[in-house]
Amino acid sequence: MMSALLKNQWKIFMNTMKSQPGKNYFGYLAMIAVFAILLYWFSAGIWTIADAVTEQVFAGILSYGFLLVIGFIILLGLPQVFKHLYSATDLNLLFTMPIPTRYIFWVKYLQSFVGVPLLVFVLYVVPLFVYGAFIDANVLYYPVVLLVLLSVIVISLSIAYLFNLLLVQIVPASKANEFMTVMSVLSGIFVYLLFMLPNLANDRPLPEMILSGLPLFPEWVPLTWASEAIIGARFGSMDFLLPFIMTLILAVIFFTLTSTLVERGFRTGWVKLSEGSGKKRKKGAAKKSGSKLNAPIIAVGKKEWYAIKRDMREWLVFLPLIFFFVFGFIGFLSSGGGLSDLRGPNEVTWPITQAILLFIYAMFNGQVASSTIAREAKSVWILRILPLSGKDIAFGKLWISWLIPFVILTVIEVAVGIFLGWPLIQFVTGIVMKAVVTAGISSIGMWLGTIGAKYNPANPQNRLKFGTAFMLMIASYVYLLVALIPFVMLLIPVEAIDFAQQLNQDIDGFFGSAAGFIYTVLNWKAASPVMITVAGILLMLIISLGVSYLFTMMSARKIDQGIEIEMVQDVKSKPALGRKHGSF
Amino acid sequence: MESQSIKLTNLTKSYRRQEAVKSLNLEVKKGELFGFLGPNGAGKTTTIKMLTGLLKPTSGSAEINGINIWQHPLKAKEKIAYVPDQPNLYPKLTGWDYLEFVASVFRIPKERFQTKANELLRVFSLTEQANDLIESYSHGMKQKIAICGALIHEPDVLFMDEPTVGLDPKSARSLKNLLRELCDRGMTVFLSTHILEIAEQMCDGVGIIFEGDIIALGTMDELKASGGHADQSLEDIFLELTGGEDQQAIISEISDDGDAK
Repeated sequence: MMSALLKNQWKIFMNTMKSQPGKNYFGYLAMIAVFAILLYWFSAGIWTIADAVTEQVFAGILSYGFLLVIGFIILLGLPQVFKHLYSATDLNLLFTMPIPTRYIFWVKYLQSFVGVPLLVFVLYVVPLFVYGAFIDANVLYYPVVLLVLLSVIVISLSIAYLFNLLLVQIVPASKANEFMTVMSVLSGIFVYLLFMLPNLANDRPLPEMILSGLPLFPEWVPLTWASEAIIGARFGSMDFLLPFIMTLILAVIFFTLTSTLVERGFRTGWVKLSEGSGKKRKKGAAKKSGSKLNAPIIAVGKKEWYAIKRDMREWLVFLPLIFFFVFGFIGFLSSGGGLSDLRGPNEVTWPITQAILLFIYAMFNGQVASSTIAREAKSVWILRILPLSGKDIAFGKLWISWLIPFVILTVIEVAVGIFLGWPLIQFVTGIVMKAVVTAGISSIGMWLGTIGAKYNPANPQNRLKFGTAFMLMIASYVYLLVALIPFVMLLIPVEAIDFAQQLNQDIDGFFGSAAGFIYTVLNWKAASPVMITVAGILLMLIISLGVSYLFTMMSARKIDQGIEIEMVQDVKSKPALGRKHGSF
Repeated sequence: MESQSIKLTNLTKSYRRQEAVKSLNLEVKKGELFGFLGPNGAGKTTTIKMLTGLLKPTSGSAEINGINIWQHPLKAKEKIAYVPDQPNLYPKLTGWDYLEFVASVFRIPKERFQTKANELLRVFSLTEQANDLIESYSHGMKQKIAICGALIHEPDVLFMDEPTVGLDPKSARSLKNLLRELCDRGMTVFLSTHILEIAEQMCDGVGIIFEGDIIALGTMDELKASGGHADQSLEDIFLELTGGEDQQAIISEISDDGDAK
């Protein structure tokens, strides 16, 4: 039975390779070449410094290296494991056939090796072999390196599997869509704690510990066993045997533990997840006739709102916000700061808070707005056949993607403002200013969404092509800087005029010119403060609203012309090809 | 010897408080072609998935040839085949590769496989395309190769969910004839369909499920005799039982209003 399954996988792999267009082979070759060059540099570096690496330093590098292997495989391999276990399309067929579940599981487990674990394996084994060759290691060294590395990878992969297999039993079927999200968050925290281990176990910084050859972990930690096994085998000492066997046994234990959960975690978990999706029915009172109908622009926005509100994964975009505040706050308190230290004069706290909030807006608004395009995914045809203009769609998507971050961050701002005791005028000015300025970021984000939309069903958060996402990040901050110039000019007191003049005289180049510009504006402000304030507000409005209008209209035009959404079909079998284009 | 091929005893599926399938009791005899009818969302696919081991019942049992599929899944699955309404097949296998895979899993002797595969491919006019990748197939062709895969090991019980969706008239006719012939030779077929004509013409027994309950069960003659429907077609009976007649009345009312204006 196993052979039939493996043969089938082999055929799929061969047919996938054969059916690739020629240009893909060049892509693969280029990737292999880049990887080979990196590996060469890495190995050459090791060859150069190998002489200076003492046994203790080597042990430290190995321990930390294995820790990285575990962390990376869990973090990067987890989605792959999830895909193999629960979202592979062949499971529907395989589970109706008389194939023992454990066989299907083992094939999936083997499949998981191809990908991150294989890459990690090559990335480690080559430099370690180069090092072995340099130090003229005992012949034992090479098989021990291979087996220890393989064991560490099996342990890491098994942890990734255990995460999936255990969590699937806890997450209710109705939350199947959110399963991956919950798992990513928990595994992120797990890996974070894992990487913090050396810091927690020692008082001194990590690089210092490694370079001074001090042990990173206590002897009972398996990472130490793995490194001791390799160290022992270097010169053929039999000291390698005990830690080596213990590492192998641990790998076997992990694999066995994973296999024991197959029936409950894999098959029943798959059944649970398959029944969970798409089964939600809104019971209760049916919508009565006369339920509110809206203008097309409002209706488009409302549709987006329902899609966001009803899928927890959509909110994941705001997760960094929670990390930013929670970890920042914890970090502040743990470094000895008190809540009262945060309070200060309003002239200081208000602009600082505004700057932080604007930075956050720049991070989220564009992202939320750009996602609205790719969110259409396979439903693009609906908007296409409806009598909606590109303008209706663009403005509909704009208002909602601007409003959501605005509401969330305004609530935070109000809470912060009350805590810091800001006067009403500061509240109003700050909120209105940000409302105007951030519309521009949303419109830029949406336009970038129309030119670089991508939809990956396995990762719904990934809604922009890589290059476009990068452009969005840059464009958001550049826009913010430009749009804020008039506002900042309003804030700088006239008393700073002498300082600006001095800077203008002392510094050349861009900053000098900027200081000169500020000096000129401050001169005008001193002469007629009301006029300059009004002009500043007007200028900010013109820039923000102008950019918003311009980019929204550009989006509308692009929508009218037809948008292509890159649909990522199957990342595993078609790295560069598995895409179809949707359009509207 | 068990004469029932399929036996459902108080089979129930609930999602939170909502019962999608309500304590079904049903028996399908060996060699019977059973049509499982019902409006959209009535619980047809949920029932089939519970019978094929893809969905765990909340309570009750499902037996195939006397074997409880949730207690002895492998033994039961050796007896069955399933063709879903949207067959998700391996896109990177050819039609032949796919049939070979299924045959390997069921350990069919090579000669028998060759003969059977050729015969099925011919029936469904797929011989020419059998060496093409499945990803290049149309929906109907995928449906046909899935049916070939289901029949290749000559299962005792065949479950089909909307089997004629996507099939061209010729293939639909071939399928109907083939199913009838296979049932006459002893295979049991449990199919869900919306096309009442198929059920009326082909099925030995019919069950109508509505909101998770079986509201009518029996042969065509029994259904007609039961509620004084002697002169009615299956469509009339179906619409009467599932509330389609009320919808028809509303449609008439709307069109009358339209005319009045």
